[in-house]
Amino acid sequence: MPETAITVPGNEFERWRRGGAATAGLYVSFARLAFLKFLAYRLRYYTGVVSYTVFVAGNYYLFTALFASRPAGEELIGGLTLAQMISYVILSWVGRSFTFNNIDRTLAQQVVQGEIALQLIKPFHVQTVMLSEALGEALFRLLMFTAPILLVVVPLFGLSSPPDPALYGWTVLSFALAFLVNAQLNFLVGCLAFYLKNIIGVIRAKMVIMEFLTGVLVPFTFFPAWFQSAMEWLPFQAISYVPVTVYLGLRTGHDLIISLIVQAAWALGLFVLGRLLWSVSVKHVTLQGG
Amino acid sequence: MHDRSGDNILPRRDTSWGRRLREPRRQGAIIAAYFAQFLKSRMSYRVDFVIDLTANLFSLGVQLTVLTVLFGKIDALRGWSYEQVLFIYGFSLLPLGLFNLVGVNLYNFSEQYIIEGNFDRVLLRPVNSLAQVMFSSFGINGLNELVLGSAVMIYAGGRYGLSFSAVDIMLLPVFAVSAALIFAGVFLGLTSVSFWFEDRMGLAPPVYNVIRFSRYPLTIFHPLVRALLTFVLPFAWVAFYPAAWFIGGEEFRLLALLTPLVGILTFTLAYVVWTRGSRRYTSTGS
Amino acid sequence: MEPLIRVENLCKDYQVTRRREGVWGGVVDLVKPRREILRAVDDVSFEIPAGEMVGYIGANGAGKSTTIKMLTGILTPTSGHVSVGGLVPWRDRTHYTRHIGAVFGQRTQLWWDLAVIESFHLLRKIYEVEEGAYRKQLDLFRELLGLDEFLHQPVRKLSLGQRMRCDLAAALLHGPRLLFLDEPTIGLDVVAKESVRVFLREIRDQLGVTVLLTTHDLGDIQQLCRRIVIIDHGKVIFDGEIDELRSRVGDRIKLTIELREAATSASLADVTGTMPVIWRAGDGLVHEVEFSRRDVRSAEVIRAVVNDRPVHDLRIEEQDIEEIVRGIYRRGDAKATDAADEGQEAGDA
Repeated sequence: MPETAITVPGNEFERWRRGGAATAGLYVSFARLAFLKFLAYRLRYYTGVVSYTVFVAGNYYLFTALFASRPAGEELIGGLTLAQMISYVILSWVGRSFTFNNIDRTLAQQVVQGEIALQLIKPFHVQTVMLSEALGEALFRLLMFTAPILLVVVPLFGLSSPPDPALYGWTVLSFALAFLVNAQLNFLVGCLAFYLKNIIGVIRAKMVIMEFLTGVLVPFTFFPAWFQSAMEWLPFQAISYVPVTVYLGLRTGHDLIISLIVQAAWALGLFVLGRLLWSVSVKHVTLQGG
Repeated sequence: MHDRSGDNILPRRDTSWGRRLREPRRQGAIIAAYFAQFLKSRMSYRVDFVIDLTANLFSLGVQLTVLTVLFGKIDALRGWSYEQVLFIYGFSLLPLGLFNLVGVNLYNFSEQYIIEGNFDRVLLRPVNSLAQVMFSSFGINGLNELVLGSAVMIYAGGRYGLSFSAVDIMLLPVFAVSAALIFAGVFLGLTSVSFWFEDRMGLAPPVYNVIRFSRYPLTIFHPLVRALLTFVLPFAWVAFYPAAWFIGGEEFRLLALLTPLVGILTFTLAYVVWTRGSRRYTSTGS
Repeated sequence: MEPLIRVENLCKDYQVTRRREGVWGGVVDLVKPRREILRAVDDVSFEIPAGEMVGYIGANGAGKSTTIKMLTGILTPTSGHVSVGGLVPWRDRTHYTRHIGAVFGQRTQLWWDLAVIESFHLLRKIYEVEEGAYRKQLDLFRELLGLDEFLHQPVRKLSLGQRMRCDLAAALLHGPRLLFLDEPTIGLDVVAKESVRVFLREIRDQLGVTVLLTTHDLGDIQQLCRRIVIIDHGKVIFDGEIDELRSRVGDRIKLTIELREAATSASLADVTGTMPVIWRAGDGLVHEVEFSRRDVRSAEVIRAVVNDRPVHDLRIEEQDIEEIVRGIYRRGDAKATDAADEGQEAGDA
């Protein structure tokens, strides 16, 4: 009889395994809940639109003044025309309004407050849940932030069209990949909370550095060549600089395809790294007892 | 044993002059005590302390890098030289540093005090509620900004060939404190909004984001933007106008002198909103 | 004599936003939120003389905490009047709070990261307690509450019971004349509960502090208070002594009788004859009879039985106060206990 006592639960576990469709459904419902959660914060949504308009406007005036002050006879600054520069400003900030998320903060809070233990005993992978929620947030942002911001900012400051209409499609794809890379990076940062009790400072530092290293603040073409080639080796440019320059037509043909593949590779690579860091961190937590 | 006579009356507020004169000292002592306790509790998280400071230095470093890279492409920004812009930037860190020292709590007020209901505890104590909120923790990063801002100002001023008169030296701290009052006033006003709208962050983030642009010479902006920053959201007075006293032309001197007035006005107005708002405080639960 | 606390026609409204369901509902909420007014405290009036310890009870959401928060100056009422020792709590807040102490069981008043003693030092400064008086109070509480073992630990490391003891001490360090307690025994185990009760009795008797106490544990009330105020859906439905409450709601008595010889309950019913009593248990030696003190005296019932049958043992049980209160909560508005109507007709229709 002891044998059955062991095999029966085994069968029970077997039955517990979800089908692929059910699994997808589960994570879709997480994404949907994230979407709803963001809808609940009304004021934040209104002010978010204002926030991004401020970013674009401020940078618009700054770079317009910069171009107005350029040495006589020079057309370009950092290899860009004024029209390109303005498009750069608009797209990098509007793009950020879509790719940005707080899963690092959310994860860190759950770890610090111990709620993560409740997640660990449930039948799903926390990393996938966090990414589904980020996706829900991104969809919310696309509809509620990015679209209204575009509607406000484009008529105000003027976004020039890309040199080739096909680039619209490539840009969308590139921004989708940018979202994935950013989400994976945020997950990695959130995991640091397993090791540092209060990681708000780390997250703040990350935000500052990211703004700079993703190219949102200033295009890399403004910098010396060594800086630009250094950036080629880091994942950050995949989050903003790459999609924006795709739109501006600075990456064509072979270059364009390579850029997108590199973006996708970063997304995948960081995802795997996230899985690894997660399992190491969870072991850390079970050994330390939280 | 226990004297019950007159138990039905609590003593009135002591409005004698002796008491009134002692009051600021008492409040000062309490703030000092709060500060000491803050340091003690903060020291139990020493690693974060270092991380916070580093994060802050990073952010300052990035801003300086951006400024330097931009000026690598031009000689002057609409007539403003690198040194002038750097000076304004350096100055802007002084009020921001002062504000960050005591203002971090305004930024998190809605979340920490209203949603989590900690405002109950504040209201139970015989100390001004705003003072309690502002001094319950301190943004030590502010010190960073004060030191770095001063260094940038001295460096830029030196390169610009600036000489400070006695009046200038007296005005500098006055301007810095007044500008800090503007920050405090603006964020206090925005924070008070959370008594009406229970939302985590409210209006503070977009306004905070304006700060980074108020550090440039305002003449680079559209006149409408400049007017907005002068009359509606008075961030023109947190950096550009007061700094222009030292490095700008005659045209800014009167505007610069208005800084203390704007500071006091902004803060007073915000304090009124705060007082009205705290009467609407609903606490949590039933 | 003028009461220490006087509450007149006190009301508090909350505005609540009702969220719609689903994604589309969320979008609609963005544009047009659905707001409703909820009256949490509805025309509450009562008085408390100095030195009394009064229990303020009611079901969840009945308005207990809201009342306490208005009495402590945290909330401003929508309408009505409160006067405590001649002060208006929310108007005279910074001055008034020097004379009161408050403990909210759900949330500590202490500084989370600091050692308990550090919090006490800080409170001493805040309330301007003189060194001598502070020492005296602290020594008293250390003894009564046994604080010594964890006085130097950070608050976040304390157990709930330890934290509550520290919170009680913190609320009384400045020697307040009034103490407001909002569920001081919530979540505590039996031993911790008992030590809180013993302490409260001590300070009532030794320091003469006036106490208003909300609780879900009627054991607290029975051991500490003679008077209770019951609130339901924001309205006061009973205000009086516990004994009075008992008599108003019928005051059921259960008499257990052990006979020397077996008998049927029908035969016993004949013994009590026309008395309005109900015989419960069936045949045998042990029988139960229930009746209301209002209708018949226990002595009469007992006499009737003893005169007729050989009785081995008798036990009288009064209905538990908890059962009484539960009955009131269930009935909702306790117009059943007409006490609530007294002097309150002037309110809304």
